[in-house]
Formats: sequence, C-alpha cells, structure tokens
Amino acid sequence: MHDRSIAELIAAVRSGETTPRALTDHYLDRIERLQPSLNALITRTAEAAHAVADGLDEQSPGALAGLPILHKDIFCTKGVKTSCASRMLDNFVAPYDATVVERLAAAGTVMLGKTNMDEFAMGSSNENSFYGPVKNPWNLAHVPGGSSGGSAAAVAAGLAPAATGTDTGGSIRQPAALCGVTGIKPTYGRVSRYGMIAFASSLDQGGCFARSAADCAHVLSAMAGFDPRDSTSVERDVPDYAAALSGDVAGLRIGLPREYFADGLEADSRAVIDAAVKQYEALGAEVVDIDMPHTDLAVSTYYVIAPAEASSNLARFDGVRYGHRCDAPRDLEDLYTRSRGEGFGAEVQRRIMIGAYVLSAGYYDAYYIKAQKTRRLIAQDFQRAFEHVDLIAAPVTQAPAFKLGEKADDPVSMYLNDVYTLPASLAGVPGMSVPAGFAHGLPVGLQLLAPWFEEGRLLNAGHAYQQATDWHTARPAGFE
Amino acid sequence: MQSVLSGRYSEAYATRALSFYASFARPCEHSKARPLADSAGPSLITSSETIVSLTTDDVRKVAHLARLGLDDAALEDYARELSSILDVVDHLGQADTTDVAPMSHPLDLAARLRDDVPDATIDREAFQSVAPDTANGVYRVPKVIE
Repeated sequence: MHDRSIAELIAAVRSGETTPRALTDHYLDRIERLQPSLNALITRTAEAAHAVADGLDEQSPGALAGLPILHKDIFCTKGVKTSCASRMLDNFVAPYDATVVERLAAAGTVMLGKTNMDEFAMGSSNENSFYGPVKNPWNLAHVPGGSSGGSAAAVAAGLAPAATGTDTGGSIRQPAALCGVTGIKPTYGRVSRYGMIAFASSLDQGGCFARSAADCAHVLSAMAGFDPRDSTSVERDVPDYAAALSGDVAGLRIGLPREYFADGLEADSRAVIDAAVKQYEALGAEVVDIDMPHTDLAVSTYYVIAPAEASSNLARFDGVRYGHRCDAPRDLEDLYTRSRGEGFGAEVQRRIMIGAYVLSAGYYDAYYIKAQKTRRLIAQDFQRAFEHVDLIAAPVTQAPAFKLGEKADDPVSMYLNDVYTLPASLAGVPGMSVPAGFAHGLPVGLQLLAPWFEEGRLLNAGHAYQQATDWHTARPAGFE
Repeated sequence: MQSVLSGRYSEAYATRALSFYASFARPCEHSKARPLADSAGPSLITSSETIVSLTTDDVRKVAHLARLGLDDAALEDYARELSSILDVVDHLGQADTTDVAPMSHPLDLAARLRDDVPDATIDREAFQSVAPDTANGVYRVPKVIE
C-alpha cells in the first residue's frame, strides 16, 4: 500500500478497494513500528485521525479524500500541540489552524501527526530540536538534513505518503535531497504563511514532500493559492499541477550555473548530477552553461537577513501571552530574559543575537542595508539567467548526509553547506529536489529551479525525469 | 585575554571562509580591512586587525538588546561562535553595490487594501487559554510601577 502513488491511493479509496480508515491504520501501524528508530515525529494524532477518516468515504468530494498526511510542527493545528521543536512552545496548543492545514483538511487529507524539525526551522541537520535529532532512514548514524528533517525522513521511510514542510534557506530541498525524496519549495507568496510560525518573513515559504513530482503536484495544488490572511500572499490562480503533467521536456533549455559546480562539490555527488543532466539531454532538453556571478554572496547575505528578521519575529516570545514562562520572575525584565534564555536553544539564541547585532545602531547600514543590496544582485542573477534558459539544474548540497554530531559544534561549517539552496530563497524563485542517485550509499538530490510562479514547469521536469529513471522508488533497508 | 582567545579561534574560520570563497569560479578576496562597520555609533566591536572579534562583554550587550538571559559560562562560546559567523558575513564588504537599491522583499508587492468592515472577532478565552497567567481577561505580569 505504501509503495503506491498518491493518484493510486486516491483511486483506491474512490473505487472502494480500500477505505480512508484502512489507509490511516496502515500508516499509523508503520509509524508505531518504525518511528522509534527515526524520531521523525513529535506528536501522533491517531485518535483524531480515526475520527477524520471515519467521516470520509468513497463519496467524499475532496481532491485528496482519505490521503494520510503529516504536518511539520511549525504549522499551527487547532487543539494539537504545535511546538516548533522548541522548549519555548513545548506547552503550546494552537487555538487555530494554519491555512495550509485548513486547506489540506478541506481536500480530505487525514493528519497522522506532527513532524520533528530544527527548532524554529533554524538548522540544516535536525540536530537543533528540543525533542532530539531525527535519524536518516538510509543510515541511522547520519542526519536527515533540516530544518524539515522529520517530514523528509517520514516520507522516505513510508510513514506517510506526503508531508508538509517549510523552506527559508533550503529547509525543504536539502532534507529531501539527503533522504532521497521529492520536495518542492514554491515561489515566495504562493503558499499562505498564515499560521506558519514565522522565522524570516521575507523568505519563509511552505511546500511539501512526497515520493515523486507527480505526488507533490497533487498536494501542492491543494495547499497553494491566495489567502487574504497573509499580506504577502499572491493573488494569482493556481493551475491543476497534476493534470498539467505531460512528461515532455523536449526543447526545454536547462542552464547549468558554473558557480554551483566549483571545487566545493564532492566528486561522487558531482558524478550523480552529471548523469542526471545527461538524462535530460537524452529526453530532448538542451543544456547550456550559464553564469550566476553573485552566488558567492548568498551565504553572507542570508546570514544577515534571516537572523535580522528572526530576531524581530521571535521578539513575540516574551513569556506573557503563550509559551514558556520562567519560575517566580522578580520583575518584567527578569520575566523576559529568563523565559527567553530558558526557552530558546543555542542555535536560536545565536541567530537572535546576530540579528540584534546587525540591526543595532551603527551597524544597520553596513550589515543590513548592504545585505539587502547584495540580495538584489543575487535576484538579478536569476532574472538574467531566465532570459536565456527555462530551468536551472544544480546540486542541492556539496555532499550527501553527514554523520550526526559531525558539525554540531561548528555552526559556520553548517552555514557554508547551504550555499546551493540559499540563492533561490533570497530571489524567491521556486525550487525542487528530485532523487538522482547515490553516493557513498546515501541519496543525492538534483536541484531544479524555475522562474517565479513556474512551479508547473518544475514539477513537469521532475516528472519527466522520474518517468525515465527509478531512483525515486528506492526504499531504505528496513523500511520496505 | 578573551580577545586573544577568540582572535585565534576566529582566524581559523577566516582562513576557512577564504578557501570557501576561493572555491567559486569568481573568487573574492576576503576583507582584511576590518571593521566593516567602523562608522559612527557605539562600537560593539573590539579592535582587531584581521577579523571580527566579539568579547564576552559584547555578547552580554547584544544579549541584553535581545532580552536573552545567558549563563556566564556560555558567554565565551557565544563570543567565539558569533565572531566566526560575522567573519563569514564580512564577505559582503567585497561586493560592489554602487547604485544598487536595497531589496526588502522578493516580490514587488503593493500593500493590499480592503474595506474597513468588521471581520471575525478573536475568541479571547481560547487565545488566553494558552497564556501562562491571566485574570479577568488580562495578562498578568510582575508589578511594573512601584
């Protein structure tokens, strides 16, 4: 059952071959058996899942009726703990649903639980969770990537056919690559941020994980679209992505940015990417080299802008309205400082302090305004590139998943690792990772980037590749 | 002593950042002329010839700005780590941004307006049910005025 595509699962419910309840129980059983080795979930919602599934049948109108799903614990879920993997929100039960959660529920999905993540989505390894690290199902000694590591690991292990995620600097694409699943980050503004706990508001974007581009197309069609409750949501029609998949890439112009294939890229990963590009040529695409000359500015630009926005967004956690409050505060200042000192983990504190620093008097222009200018240079690289090509292909990471603990004491080496995913986030263009092979026994992802609002082109290119290859169907040993 | 310690530590990062940037097709020379932000304003940066180097006092000041209560024992680690992060960020100084307008947002969006009509009201009880301490519909905090 868990090897079937989303289209097949929905059809099986429609035809009466299976029921939403049976499907739900199948995946809940896998979670029960396999979750302990992965730590991919923070909360299970079996009882609520049963109640929802029992209310659905083959007549249910939703496009995804009966489809089990997991939500990243950054999305508010009414009546269900929403922790953002932080001690700060360990006691937080959301009073409302995020738009993403609401829409996917309206489409008939059945929520099985909430997935583990890096605290407040800050991290690239899922080691920054208050609830402990997630393990990579391909090798339990390795990280699953982050920040949406729980969602990626859960889909890779077949704990759910799909999971939601968020991507601020690569938090969908990077764990999708490291866990060997398909993950899409839409254009900034495509998916509502309402009820998605904010990290860096000019970068945060919701998306999803599934086993194939076609599966992602079904989920994204249901979750994307204008939302008046998010002031940066874009009023633009959402196509039926699944219906539009042709699997045809003949004549498509694909650009390979030289800067993404420089010395930092590990040789075996590079061989995987080169082979994937050859596959596109075999499918009739035209491949050309392009230049994106400001790529080297992405890490420094991002690590000014994201922490600056985070320090502002996370000011709301004050121990007054929700979240952790310290014991017996002496005065208001003590209440704030101790609640925040106790509630936030080290990486979150580092980023808050970097943010406060670059926004402080005397440094604002030199750091923050300067980074906003270099951000434009990076966005212009994309504008120029897309005047010549339809799509960009690149690696997602410099190497496959590293070992748990390997970089835990070294925040900077973790940051430098994000170099291939940050530029698209800063520019706001959509991006996707598709499984393209293995290096050192671990999955390698191919990154595809498209012009603003061309998610359909991305999904179709991923679909074409997956029609011709079977990397996306591989399952880690022990999780068949 | 602290600045010496963090200086040595950060130098390793500066070297690594240099090789990281050199790995790109268009290598950029790492800035040696620190500080990037030696303009007016209260200096949080301690003097250093080659790299950003925050002291534990600097960390204490930034933590106060952010209302973060830190253990004294954590200050040295934070000083090292924040310095190394700022070393990476420092690379921005190499970019020529003459005549480049700041980009605050990935899309050129205009603020959306709507008619000023009553919408759904907030359910105060539901929202306050997750608060640590409330009474009669208000949030309770320690006494502010003596």
